[in-house]
Amino acid sequence: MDKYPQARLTRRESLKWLGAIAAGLSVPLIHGRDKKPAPGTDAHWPDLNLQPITVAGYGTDPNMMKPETPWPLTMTAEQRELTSLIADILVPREGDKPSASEVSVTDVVDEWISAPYPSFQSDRVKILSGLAWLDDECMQRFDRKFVAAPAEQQLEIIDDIAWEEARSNPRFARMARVLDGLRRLVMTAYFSSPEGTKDIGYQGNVALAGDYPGPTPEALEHLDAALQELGLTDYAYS
Amino acid sequence: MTEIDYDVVVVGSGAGGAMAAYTLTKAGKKVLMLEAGRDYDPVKETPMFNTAREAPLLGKGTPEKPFGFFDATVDGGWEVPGEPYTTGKDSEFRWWRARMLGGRTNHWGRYSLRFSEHDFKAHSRDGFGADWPFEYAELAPWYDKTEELVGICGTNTGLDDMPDSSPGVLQPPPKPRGPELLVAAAARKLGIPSAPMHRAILTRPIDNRAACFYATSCKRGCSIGAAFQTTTSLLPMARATGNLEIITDAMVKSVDVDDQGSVNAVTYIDKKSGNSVSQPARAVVLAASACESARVLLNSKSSHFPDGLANSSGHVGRNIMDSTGAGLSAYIPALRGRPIYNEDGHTANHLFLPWWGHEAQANGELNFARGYHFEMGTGFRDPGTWSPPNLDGYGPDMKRQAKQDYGARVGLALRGEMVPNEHSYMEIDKNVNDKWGIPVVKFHWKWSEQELNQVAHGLQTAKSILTTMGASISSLPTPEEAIRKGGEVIHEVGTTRMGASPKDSVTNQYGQTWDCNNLFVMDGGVFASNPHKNCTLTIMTLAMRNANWLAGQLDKGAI
Repeated sequence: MDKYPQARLTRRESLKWLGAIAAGLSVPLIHGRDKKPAPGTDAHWPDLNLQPITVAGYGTDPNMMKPETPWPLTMTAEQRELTSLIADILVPREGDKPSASEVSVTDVVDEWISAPYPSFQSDRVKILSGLAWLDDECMQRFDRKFVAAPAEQQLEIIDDIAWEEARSNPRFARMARVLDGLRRLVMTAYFSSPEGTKDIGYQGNVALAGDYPGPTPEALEHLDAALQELGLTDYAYS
Repeated sequence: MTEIDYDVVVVGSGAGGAMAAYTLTKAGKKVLMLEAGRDYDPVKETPMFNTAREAPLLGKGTPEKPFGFFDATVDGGWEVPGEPYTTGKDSEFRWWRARMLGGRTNHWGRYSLRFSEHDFKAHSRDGFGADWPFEYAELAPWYDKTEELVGICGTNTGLDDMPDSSPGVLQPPPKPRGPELLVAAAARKLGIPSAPMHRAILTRPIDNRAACFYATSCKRGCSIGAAFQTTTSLLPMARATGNLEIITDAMVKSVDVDDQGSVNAVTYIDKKSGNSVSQPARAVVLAASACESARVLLNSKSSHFPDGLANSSGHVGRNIMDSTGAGLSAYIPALRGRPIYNEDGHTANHLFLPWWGHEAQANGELNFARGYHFEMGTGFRDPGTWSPPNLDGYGPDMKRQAKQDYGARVGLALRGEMVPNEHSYMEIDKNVNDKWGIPVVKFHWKWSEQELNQVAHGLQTAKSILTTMGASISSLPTPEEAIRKGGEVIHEVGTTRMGASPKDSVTNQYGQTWDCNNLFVMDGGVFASNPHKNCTLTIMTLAMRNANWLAGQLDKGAI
């Protein structure tokens, strides 16, 4: 449960998250209502006619010792290919650090949007619409599907939707919001993999013998500098 | 129905029921425990060390597992299949239940703060709610005994909101994490003290339970018994006496009386067969949770008790109090990119901010009567449970940006005391039965100005602390927007409150109902007020004291 809603979201978003996350509700990754675009803006937003997913979830007493996902994955091969491509634009391989798709982030996204629960179905419509939009946009600009386009054409589109300013550009706002949600899911999924966990540097989830050691000398040094910078040295906890 | 002649039938296996059964069986009494959920063994069923990635949906909450896939709760959450509840017009209330042996002790936060002298007599001071029928001094030795048995880590602070334990009772707390030390310094600059949180986590082994090894969230349960839950402690210990029998999947419907109006049986539904079973009982302890016990009483109607059992005061189901809840968090620039080390610790607060405003309240400087505390959310946690904020762009630069923010977020969660009010109560919904044919609870709920003013104060204070740490916070929600719904903090108590008079309370100071001397309540229902310090330690302490008294009454033949 996240009981610490975050102050840096916009006020409206934070309120929504504040209520919902705090209550232990699952909330959609991509929040905010889909507004009808103004004429001549992102008018080619696809209108997918998706059948609701009605299979059972894992129930109220799943086997936690052997976690299993009971619902089938529902993305098409083309959707998975495009998702992998986007995931790897977001997190490309860097030396010995794998790309997102190399650590099965595509499976996480597919599992996510295939889940029968309401908030995940809400994400499903948005993510699948976003994938379709990418192909439509690429067709309009370059007369080919996104995965078939050369990298520079792909990045031309991505550059239009991946940055802060896109969210206030009516032509790209809706896609930018979808990409932002997908980006956060891809990042969490990447960092959750064994390789991603190593990349981010998480040190926990190991049994320690004896008392908890507390901050390392290096971490305490950093803390002292922070206290100093904030004028809090005289108030240090003792 | 079983043939053995039990001294006491205990309904519920959570904090109150298990402590009552432990105390009674240790005193040589034969006890039958009825639990509405299934049998559950944390040693075999706790997903220790599994990463978020191993769970469906990265372990995120769903309607079937609201606190995430690995949360210990079985067959429960905000909704229990086939066991609905309803709410009155304009009321929002959410009722967390667990249908499993050990109840909610399997996943609770384990925060274990004593109520203070101040707390037991709050009504005398400010006129709200009701006083408890005893002073702190009466409970202090029982707190000691409970803390030793349960195993509480923490320190004596001498702060007026945190009564000291006797020397040697508390186990040593873990060292604070770096960001907690930063919060503590910022708070201190504002005149707010901080202290090690008291938690029901062993840092030294006792009985068959190991000390914490500082990994894997306590909310999943704890297969080594370091994090307290009744299923690894009180229940096996009570069973070892040979005096305890437990029937699971036994959903209690009513407590029944004889021609004289004395309790003589408990009726339950055997969930496996669907059959109704009448279990004879010499004495009954209800500890099914505050609202479930009140529901049983209100559903136990007879010619002697047409308004429900033990309800001559009309107070059964009234006076429900939850804790207030609100929170604020921010990314702290000074914490970005800090050196990474293992901050799992005992997986919850090592430090917290206890209530510091008693004096200001006494001086009339605050527009709310009761206190609150802040819990801190910080640390480098399983990255699969973390979503990087405000990402921009893509590729290596974006990833670096995410990594810089890892472990830089600080959250402050307010938990405060509510005063009871006439708009917050539960009754039986005459139009709705659950799948077992038992009429369900209907909740009515409203926060008063007391709680809203308190939350407003808390939000301002949280903002001050976070900005003192260098965060920029542009706007705050209103208290109406920020306050959690009734029930959502899962500290609901007060539905069968204890008191000094049968006129305005349901039980006496021992949890013995005024109307039936062989009927007791030993869960949070008996709370006369709901201090902000989390209810479980006091539920267990009262259950130990009151079950001990009950054993004495049985010995004397008074019951």
